[in-house]
Amino acid sequence: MRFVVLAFGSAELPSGITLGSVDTATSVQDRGVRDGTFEGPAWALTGIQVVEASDLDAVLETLPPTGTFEVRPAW
Amino acid sequence: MTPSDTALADAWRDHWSRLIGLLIGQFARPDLAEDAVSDAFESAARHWPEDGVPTNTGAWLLTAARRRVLDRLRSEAVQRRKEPLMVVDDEMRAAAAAAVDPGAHVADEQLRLIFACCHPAIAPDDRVALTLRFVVGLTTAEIGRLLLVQESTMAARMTRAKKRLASSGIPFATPGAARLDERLDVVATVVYLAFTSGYHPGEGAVPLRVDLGDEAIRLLRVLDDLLPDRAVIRSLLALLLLQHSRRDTRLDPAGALVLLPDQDRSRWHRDEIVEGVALLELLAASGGGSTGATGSEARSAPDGRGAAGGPASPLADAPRASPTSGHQTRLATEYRLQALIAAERATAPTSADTRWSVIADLYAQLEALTGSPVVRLARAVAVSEASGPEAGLQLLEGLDDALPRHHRVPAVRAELLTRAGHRTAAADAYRAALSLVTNPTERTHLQARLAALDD
Repeated sequence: MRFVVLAFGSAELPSGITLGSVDTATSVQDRGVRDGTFEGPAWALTGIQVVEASDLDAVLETLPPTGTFEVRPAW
Repeated sequence: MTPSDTALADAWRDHWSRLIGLLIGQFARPDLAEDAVSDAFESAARHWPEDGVPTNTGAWLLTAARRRVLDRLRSEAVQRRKEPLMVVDDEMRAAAAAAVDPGAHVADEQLRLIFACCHPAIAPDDRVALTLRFVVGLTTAEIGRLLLVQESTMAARMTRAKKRLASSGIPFATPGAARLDERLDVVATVVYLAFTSGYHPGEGAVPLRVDLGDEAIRLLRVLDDLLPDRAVIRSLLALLLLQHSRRDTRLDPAGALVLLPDQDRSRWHRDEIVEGVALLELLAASGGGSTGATGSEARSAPDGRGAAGGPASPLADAPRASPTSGHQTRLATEYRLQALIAAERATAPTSADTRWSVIADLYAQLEALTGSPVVRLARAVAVSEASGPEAGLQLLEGLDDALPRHHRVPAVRAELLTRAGHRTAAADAYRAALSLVTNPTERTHLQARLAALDD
């Protein structure tokens, strides 16, 4: 089986992916772009995708035309 | 001014945004670039008066600023930086690293800088702040004063905005053709906001080192040079030139606002009006709109056409016919209509000779495009000038709901009722306006108008 582990607060996943801080988050709703994180509750999370892209604009281009998304750099 | 002061001011004007652009291009660190360029200018202010002004001021500043960045990077190397850098492509990096003089044309570093500061993933207020800091070169204190934000709050916001610019994946790049018009609209909005913030300085405003109107116009010229034939840039340039041409007559010697009909037209900047009108004619010729209705050509048209309810002016269908064709975005059309209105006012020989029917038509188009109740209010005033107060009054219907706390709606109604001879209704409207007005100057004006009704 495949599992996803999400870490919150100060928790660290030594072999996981580290998300950029909330200051680096960009939210998208139906193609509309704004700064900041998704404002709903964490349990509304329904999917995860890791994208290799040259920059934020390249990622935004790949998103479906409808729906709510949050994009952050990660390393 | 000493020679070194002059050299410093010239260098600041010619090189500030280019130096920042080059350093971001080379090091991908907007935060360090801004500090370093700022430090380099401080250093120049200390050294040039004593050592003399260097032959190539740009090269001197670039070398000094680079040294600062390298110092900072060296001291940072101890603590490993985790967050990603700004996204800069290899070509830009190579060009920026090889540059020895910001005066020489390297790459489109200024354009990249503008698009990065005006990226849609940055909060709208922060786009303005970043542009004023990185592109125009104002200090955080000056920007705080312009945007009516305390200096400490502004400094905190700027720090956050810079961090965002550096590490959220925003590219230091000119957007691709598919997104260019959309992103250029964002840039134009930021430039317009920067321009208008210059006209609404905070209380006890300290003079800025630059005239923001001049700077906004200069920025549009740079954009027009780098990205020619963009309707949104040319329309906004026309609008700002026409508005800015009246700058010397907006305030009386005591600092009070002078309304347009009372301004001394002989002190308007003719060259800027001529340029604004020429730009509008160019736009009309290139399909950005229809011909006529501006300047000398339109002046020869027969009077009385295009009155509200009457035959439409040749302009009437232009924006609706091609709202998205070519480079014409909705915003470009909006700016162009505003500019055409400003051109009518600026080219009228006297306030009384203004072609109000043409202005009323333009406002009708602007209202159809934007649906804005504020535009409808302005349209009502123009229509009443063109076709009498009753026609204007009809357009005010429903506006109180759309602009509930706006004293201007009852104030305009009161004025039109007075002209139509309905004294009692006019008095009621003046009292309604007085219950909403906050500005003391306007309150005095409304009270005087109300008192005059009894004469």
